[in-house]
Amino acid sequence: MSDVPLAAEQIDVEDVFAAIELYHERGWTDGLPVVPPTEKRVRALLDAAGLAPARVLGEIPERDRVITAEHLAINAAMAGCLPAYMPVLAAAVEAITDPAYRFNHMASLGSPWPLFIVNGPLARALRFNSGLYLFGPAARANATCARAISLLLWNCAEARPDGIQRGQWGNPFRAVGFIAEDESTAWDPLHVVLGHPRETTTVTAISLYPGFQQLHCARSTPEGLLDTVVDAISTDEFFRGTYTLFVSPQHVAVFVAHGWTKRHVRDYLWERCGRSVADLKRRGTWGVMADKPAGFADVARDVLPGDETRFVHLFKPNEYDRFMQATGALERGADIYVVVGGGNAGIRMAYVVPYGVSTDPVTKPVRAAAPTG
Amino acid sequence: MLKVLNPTAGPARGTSGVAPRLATLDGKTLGVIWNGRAYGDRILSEVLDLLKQRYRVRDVLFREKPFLGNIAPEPLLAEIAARADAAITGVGD
Repeated sequence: MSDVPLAAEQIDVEDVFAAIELYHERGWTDGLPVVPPTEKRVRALLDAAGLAPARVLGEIPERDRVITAEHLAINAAMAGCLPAYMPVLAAAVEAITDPAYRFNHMASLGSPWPLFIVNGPLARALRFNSGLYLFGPAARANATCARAISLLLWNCAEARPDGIQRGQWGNPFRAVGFIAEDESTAWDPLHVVLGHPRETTTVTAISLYPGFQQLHCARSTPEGLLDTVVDAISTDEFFRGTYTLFVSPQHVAVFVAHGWTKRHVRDYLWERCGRSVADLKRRGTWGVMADKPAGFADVARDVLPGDETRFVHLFKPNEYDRFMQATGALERGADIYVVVGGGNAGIRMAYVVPYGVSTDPVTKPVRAAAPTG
Repeated sequence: MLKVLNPTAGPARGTSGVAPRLATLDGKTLGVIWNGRAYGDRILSEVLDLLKQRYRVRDVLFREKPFLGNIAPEPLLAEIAARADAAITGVGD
């Protein structure tokens, strides 16, 4: 065990119960009790990842914050994480402090929060849930890792309602947004699709609007299943970004029987998601989506001749994308991740909506533990 | 008895915070960055009118961010930093 001194203030308390109350009183927890983080427990977490306490995992320049391994280990201990989770958590912090993630968007009224998807051998070894009750609660790894990141950003980046988190509704992924993919089907897992070796463990962070939508997909062909998804995504937030579709193993079997890969699924949605200008005007999205630079208070919302047949692609660039051009979202592009998971039986798919205009998903490899130095 | 650890992190370098205040806006150039929210330009214009009534503001650089959810582009920040004596910006929601 490393004997490098820890930087954190040490506080004397009478017992475990007094410690729990102390964290409530000081605003260091989210409303639930915490496991009191002792030096012994924190060092066990650091050692499991081979991380020196002062090792910088990421920086948040706009908050002038530096996140060290010690900060992460303390908050992970509070969340009840096993030491073996620590390398995965370190990769998660590296993902959300990557410049491409654009941390500043986290303060938004839209309540964005990262969903973390773990792929590769460590996901299984650490028993991250990828199956039944995927969005839980169901498994210690999922629940405690989600809360570890939530507490870390609560305590070290002011991501709380009395700090910089100004979300209108809040985001339940703070409690359950750390999942694994079911890699037992014929489809390539997400990290392989993204170009990582199958035997690498990765963590992918995708910033999402709150919650997920499950869809009753009772058809028996790939097209039939996906037309339900096209309809739902096209009537949702209607912002370009990287959406994620969750497909159960049972549905994967349908796609595979018809020769469909994840790429086929992605391309089918890519081509079809969108709405007519008339639809967008009727729901009040048109001015926001397309004519923002003109000031959407001044945009004519009346449906004009021809609007019913003018189709606005959600994912593909098109002539109406002045808003997306302004945000830079077109240059960054968009994507549709297809992830296998959830209960094997069941006729529902699920998808999540990205906070897409200001952030990109980031995937980081999980590094094996090395000796602390 | 038990020893537990403080889980918080404060500003690391002291590089964020309030910039030194100007003694007056007389003769100064103001930089203004509108984040693009609807009507924010009108509110900022009202604020500028009030400031101009109270001070002999030399000039105003009024700029808009391409998108409110992103940090202003570096060239825009550089222009404000180079040409303005003070800047008005914020989330504005």
